[in-house]
Amino acid sequence: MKRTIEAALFTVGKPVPIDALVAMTDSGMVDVMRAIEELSAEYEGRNSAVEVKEVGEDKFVMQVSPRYAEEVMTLAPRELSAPLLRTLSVIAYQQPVTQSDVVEVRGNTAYSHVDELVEQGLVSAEPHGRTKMLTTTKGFAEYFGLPGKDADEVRRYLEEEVDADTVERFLG
Amino acid sequence: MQLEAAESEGLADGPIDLLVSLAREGEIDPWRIDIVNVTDRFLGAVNAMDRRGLRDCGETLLYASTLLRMKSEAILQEDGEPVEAEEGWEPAPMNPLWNEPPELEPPVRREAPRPATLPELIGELKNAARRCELREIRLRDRDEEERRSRETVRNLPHSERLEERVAELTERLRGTLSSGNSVDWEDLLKSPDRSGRVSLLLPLLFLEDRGLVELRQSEIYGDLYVCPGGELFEPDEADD
Repeated sequence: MKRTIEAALFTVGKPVPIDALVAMTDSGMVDVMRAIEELSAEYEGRNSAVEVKEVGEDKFVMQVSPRYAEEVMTLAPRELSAPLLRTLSVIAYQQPVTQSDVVEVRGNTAYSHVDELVEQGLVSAEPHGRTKMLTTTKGFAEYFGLPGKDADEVRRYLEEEVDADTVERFLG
Repeated sequence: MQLEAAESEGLADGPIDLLVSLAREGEIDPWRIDIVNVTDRFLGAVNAMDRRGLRDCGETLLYASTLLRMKSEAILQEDGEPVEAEEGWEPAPMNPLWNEPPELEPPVRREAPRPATLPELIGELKNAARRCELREIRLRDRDEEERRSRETVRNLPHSERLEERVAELTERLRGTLSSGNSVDWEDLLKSPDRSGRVSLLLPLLFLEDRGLVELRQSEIYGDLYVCPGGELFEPDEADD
């Protein structure tokens, strides 16, 4: 069962809910959790460049260890393009923010970006007058492995990570 | 008899002719065909033949291959092995690369693109801020350039003595337009050439822009009339 779970986590490449692993292995929750823990310890024990981690709520992922990520990421294509990621970063930093404000910063391409981000579950868009109010979702926090899931927590985290010059450019 | 028939029908050309000539020369006995012997002699004669056209060579090759097959079957029959022709069987083409059967199921490999990382998100945020700032600088420069252009245009009348010409034209028009009449602009021309028209039109446009006159033209390329448009050319009360 441990090897089956290992193969599943490798193949999917994204966080897999524990329920899906339980259903796949046709085993109990306790057994699956134990197998995942053993698998994680196994990878950690041999100092592997790959790790098995829990992200979000009861989801597990096989990913490259952070200490090797920067070296290898140039080889693998990224699933979010640079313009899309840029729009997402603006939303995350200025949330809650109206779509019209985002368009003012990013241009008209932001409309299609917002649609795509909503479809991917990274942004939520609520009707707000003639525009929409945008915030990041729980999925966004899980995707980037952020500690907080609340929109305010995400924004505060980014404010801490970004230097004062950038803040001034956006606010000044 | 069959040989003569073949010759008369014009079939005695190429490989058929070769077989006929072999029979005539006694190389082969047409009444007792030894296929092995016939094939060997035929192939020998083919090798000795002069080069002919592609069609003849193709036909010769076809007959040679047929005879070879008949020869091989005859030899196999002599050895006691029954030879049964399979209906519809055709030999598969030889492929030297087929050393082993191809795999039918490809291995499961992960081909998904990787997710974006948090440092990349922060990097694009800084990038967005930088682009925002650059756009503001561009807009500021563009506004400044427009302001300078407007200033240049505003100063143009001074360099072209336009104000003097406007004042002069105003005086000329005062008498005519004050009585409420319109005037054909052709009547105002000092000279009918191009420079004369430009020299008149520019001050007229300034007067219209200031609301002192109205320029009317009922149709394109039609007559252009200068009409009173403001207080400056209102009839004097004393005239009434």
